[in-house]
Amino acid sequence: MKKIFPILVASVAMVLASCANVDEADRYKTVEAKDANRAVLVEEFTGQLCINCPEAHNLLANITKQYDEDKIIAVCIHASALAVAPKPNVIGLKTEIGEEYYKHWKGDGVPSAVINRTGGLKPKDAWAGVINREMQRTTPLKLNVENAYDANTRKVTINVNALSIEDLNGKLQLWIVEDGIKAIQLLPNNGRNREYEHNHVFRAAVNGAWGTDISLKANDANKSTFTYTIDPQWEANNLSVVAFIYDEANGVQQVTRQKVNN
Amino acid sequence: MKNYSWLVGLLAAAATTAQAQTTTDDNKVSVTGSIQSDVLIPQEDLKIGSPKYDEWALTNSFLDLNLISKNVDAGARFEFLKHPLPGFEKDYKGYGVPYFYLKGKFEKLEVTLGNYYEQFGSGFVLRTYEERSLGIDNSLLGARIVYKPYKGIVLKAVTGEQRRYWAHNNSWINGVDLELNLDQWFKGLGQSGTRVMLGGSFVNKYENNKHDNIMIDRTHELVLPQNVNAWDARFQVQKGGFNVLAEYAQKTQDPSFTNKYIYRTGNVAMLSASYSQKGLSFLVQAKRSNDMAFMSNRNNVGVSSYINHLPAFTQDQTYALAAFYPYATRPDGEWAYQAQMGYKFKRKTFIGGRYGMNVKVNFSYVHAIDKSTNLTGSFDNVNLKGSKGYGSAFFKWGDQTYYQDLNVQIERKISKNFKLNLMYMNQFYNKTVVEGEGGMIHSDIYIVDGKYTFSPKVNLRGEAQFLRTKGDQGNWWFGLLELSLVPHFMVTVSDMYNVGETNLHYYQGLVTYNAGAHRLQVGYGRTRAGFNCSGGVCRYVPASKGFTISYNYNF
Repeated sequence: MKKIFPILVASVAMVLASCANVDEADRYKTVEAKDANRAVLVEEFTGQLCINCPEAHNLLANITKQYDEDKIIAVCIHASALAVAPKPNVIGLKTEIGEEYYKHWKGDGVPSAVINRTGGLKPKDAWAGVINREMQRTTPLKLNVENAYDANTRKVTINVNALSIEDLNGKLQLWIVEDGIKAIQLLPNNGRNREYEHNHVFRAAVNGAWGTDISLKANDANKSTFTYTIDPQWEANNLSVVAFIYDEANGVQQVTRQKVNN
Repeated sequence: MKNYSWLVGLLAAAATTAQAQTTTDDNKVSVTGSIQSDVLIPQEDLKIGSPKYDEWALTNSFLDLNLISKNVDAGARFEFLKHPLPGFEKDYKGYGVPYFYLKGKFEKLEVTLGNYYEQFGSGFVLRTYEERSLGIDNSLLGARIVYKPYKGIVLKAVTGEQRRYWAHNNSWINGVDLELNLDQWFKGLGQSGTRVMLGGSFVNKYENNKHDNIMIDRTHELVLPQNVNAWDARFQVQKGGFNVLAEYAQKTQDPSFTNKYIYRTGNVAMLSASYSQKGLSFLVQAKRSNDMAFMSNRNNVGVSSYINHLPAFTQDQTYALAAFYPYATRPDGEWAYQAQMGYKFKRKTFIGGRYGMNVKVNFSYVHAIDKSTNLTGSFDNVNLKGSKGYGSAFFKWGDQTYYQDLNVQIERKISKNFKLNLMYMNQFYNKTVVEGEGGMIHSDIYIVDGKYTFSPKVNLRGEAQFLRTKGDQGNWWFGLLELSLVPHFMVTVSDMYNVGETNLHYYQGLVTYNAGAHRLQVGYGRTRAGFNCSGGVCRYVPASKGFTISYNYNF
């Protein structure tokens, strides 16, 4: 028994070791493609010195293509030690408010994202699954934004229209985001692209870092108006307003995006 | 994780009672433990990148308490990490009693309930340990049995869930390990002084996959294996000064964030041979690892949650500039080689001089393994997730050197009062692979370390170090003076200066006081951003400036 026992243990171990593998034919399961019930906000934390972030940008772009374009609202928030602060001769996309958001979500590395402000920061491989799940969540809220932009004063007037089928209390948040910013981005294997196109970059919060209180009565349309003066460094034709309403319990209830200069 | 501070209080009360009682030897209960507290009072210094903190002080503090008796041990650890030192992961923050145990020790059997650390063989399939400087504590919470039924047989069994900071990962780990010391069975082996060990281990991780939702596209999701199994086999022979160890481990499919959700088996093979006798030692070893990161949370990002550990084949350096570019073991795979030699030239010889001379040489080399894309099993022949990932010919190298160093150290006592250490290191460090960018850094490091004894109670040690490189931030100087007033005091001043690019000084002053088992150190200065590594695992440490206080007490 003394001599057989070790051989027995080794044999059992090797059999068990092979049983855990998944055959090629069994590695995927089909998930029903349901229509999206709402739009989903993806706050993607990123950095110009982050070599893995371009891959994450492409991944999110591919996910977005699989749904209607207005169903996934992505915002790139440049934060962490791998983000670049703006300097006179450097186009840096890091902001103080972005850092505040990163700290709030206990950011521990980029790329990572919060999706609909539920469940905390997720690594990129989890984004598709969480987005798909969030798409199926119903919402009582409809939200749309109309912008009027004055090129002389660089002032944009933002009209937010919200309608809920039930009473709802939360925070209304408005952001300015910009597409098409050409600036440096580090790439894997010591690469760097000085003309990398950065899209949906978080630029500013219109109504404070965490938004303003909003209280909606069932079936009672709510309209609020804000104004914001666009920074002269930003390209007005590439700017959009992202508006969303969120609360602690449910995360983001609804989100929408509208170009500043229609 | 619940706060079991009451447990530490109970243990402390029991310890006090135990100390006060008069007992027979069999019932004697001894108390051991330690207090360790490191404090930083930070200052903002934007020149070096030291930020402003919300807290006025940051600290990592630990209190260990153990009650030891003939048949039963018990212990617990209180950790205060609510405002931790810079550079640890966000979830490291917290406080409480994350570690406690009860151990029964009998003639052939030892049973532990609670938290425990364990290692099977070299750690290829299981190694749980604590390394405070890295913020690592991946202990298991459950049960552990060590059984020695006959001489020469050691059987271990473990079960539990793994600690991750202030929680436990949502998986369950079971393992068994068997070691046979054949020299205990075969008289001939024992009589000839030959020790032969055969060992084998098996570890299973069960992790539910219901909530993972790793999607390939909008309508297809990965089926992740709920069981991941790993086994290890090893063989060791020792005779006289010779020691040979061969070890191999393999893991079943383990798609995870670390390997980009590919379905391939992982493996690691190691061969190590050494010889030592008085005044002479050799070591040569080689290791090839391939996708052997074994984690208790498949979606984990960061240094936590490793079930296993792959040993580093690079030396941990203690001299500041020799440790400037430390290498971290690659979890996705590498070929690693190491050769070491130590020789003592005898005293009163031409080379050895009056007092003798020690020479140590170390060569470490780490290279990529061969990898060629293999999309077998891919859903659409494009997506890597769900595929085999890559093929890898065993003996073939990949196209990158990860790390190389050759270092020579000479220790020589020059006179009755003066001892000299010299070191030269030639190093290649692939900063792109280890840190993400920076290219290959080739550096030469020169170190002189001299210690002069003025009297039995007073000695002075000085270090001068120079790192020469054309890459990264260029050349660095380091100087240190350390005055010891035995047995209690030590005063140290040092400066690290970047000649190449920034012209920044990282100065530091420390005063250390020792009294019996107590040690108190107070200091002020700047610390450069860099990596703190131990055993091939590294933690990024941001730059800091301020006052430091460190207290240690062992009892």
